[in-house]
Parts: sequence; structure tokens; C-alpha cells
Amino acid sequence: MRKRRADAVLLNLPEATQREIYRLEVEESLTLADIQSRLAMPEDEGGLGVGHVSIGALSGFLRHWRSMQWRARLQEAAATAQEAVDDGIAESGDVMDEAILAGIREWIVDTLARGQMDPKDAKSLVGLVLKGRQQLLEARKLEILEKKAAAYDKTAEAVEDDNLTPEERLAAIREGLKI
Amino acid sequence: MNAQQKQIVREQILLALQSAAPVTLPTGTLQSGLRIVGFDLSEKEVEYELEYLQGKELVRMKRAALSRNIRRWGLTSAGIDYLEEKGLD
Repeated sequence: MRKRRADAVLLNLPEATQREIYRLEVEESLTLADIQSRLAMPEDEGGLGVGHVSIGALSGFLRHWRSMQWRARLQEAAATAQEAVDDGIAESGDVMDEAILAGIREWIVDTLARGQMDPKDAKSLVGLVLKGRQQLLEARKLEILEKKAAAYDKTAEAVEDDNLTPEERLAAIREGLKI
Repeated sequence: MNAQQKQIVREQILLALQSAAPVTLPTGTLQSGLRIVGFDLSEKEVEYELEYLQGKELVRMKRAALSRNIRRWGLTSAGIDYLEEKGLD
């Protein structure tokens, strides 16, 4: 027969009670012994009326809850990372290659998992990065188009310049059209 | 750490990698998460456990997309099977 987990009693309590036990540790920073006393204390005396629970069981229970919170944070971070990248692409177009997008996703997850940034800020930042990249690409395109237009103007001038020899004209056309 | 604690740490690592999937996690993030759960391990100790799990083919290592020096870790299909078999997923 499978051994019953020591923390099974606590994990089978109503969720609100479980949450309250976890809160005692996280928000009130009570020691295990203090929480143990609070669990044993009847409800009408300000306790939780759960009865005696061993320190080992309590420790396992709290570890389970901390783990759940951490994993929920990771799941949220992964979802936020994907959402931020999807939103950024929808708004700015496909301006980054997949390796950079993967890097952005990794950075968001790491930052959020460590609680170093708010998910909204992460999304805004990714939006700004992608938008900035889009503007940079558009500026480069414009620069190339302007250079091309200037080269064509110069070529057109060479074609109409009667002072050039046929060889000089051909060289100017070749230069202008980059032949 | 005793054998039981090591087992819990390894399972916590697998669960964390499952939660973050498809994004992989670097050792430092796993280390800070393990601290939240209640295991104060050095980065080297976490790396050791990760390499053990890699040896069992439950996790895989890849280089970070933006920095090749950073090792990141993800769950393999064998790792997913392990969690399912143990009823931990």
C-alpha cells in the first residue's frame, strides 16, 4: 500500500484554509512552530482548529504551496512572453528574426520569473523594441531609395550632357546604374 | 541534502521546466526558484543536479539565444513522461 503523505491532511483542507496557512508564513512571517500552534488552536480562540500537525507535515505542505506559486509565476511569465512577442509582431510586422524573438522570450521569462519586472512593463518594452526596429528598417529603406534616386538623376544628367565623349557617357551610365 | 531532499529538488526542477515550456530556463532562475521553494543551493549545486537529470535524459541543455555563454535548460519528452508517471504534472 502506498504510504500516505505526511502533509495529506493539510492538502485536503478547504482551499481557503490552505491559503490562510500559507498566508501566515508569507505575509505574517510566522515560524513553523507558531503556525503549528495556530493550527492546533480552536477557531473560537483565534486559531484554525485543524488540530495537531507535525512540523514535518507542515513543512511539506508549505513547500508544496511555495512550489505552486513559483510554477504559476513561471507559467504566467511564459504566457506573457509569448503574448508580448505576438502583440509586437502584430503591431510592427515581422521585423526580427526568430533567434532574436527567442532571445526576447527568454529574457522576459527570466525577468518575470525573478520578479524583477511587471508583466505590463515587459510587454510595453517589447512593443517599443519591435517598433524601434521597424522604424530603423524603414529609415534604412528610405536612405537606400534616396541614394538610388540620386544615382539615377546623375545618370540622366550624363545622358543629356553634350560635353561628354561617348566613352565618358557610357562610363557615367555604368557608374550610375552600377553595371 | 539527504536522498529524499535531492529527489524533491530534482522533481522541483522538472516541474519548473514544465511550467516555463516552451521557453527554457537558465540555472540562475532555477536556483532562485528553488530558494523560494525552500532549498538554498549554490549555482554549482543546481548545475550538478541539472547535469544528473541530463544524464538521465530528463532535461536538455541549449545555449541562450542572445548569449551563447549562458546555458539554458528544458524538459525532454522523457522528462514529461516521468512527471506523468509520478502524477506530478
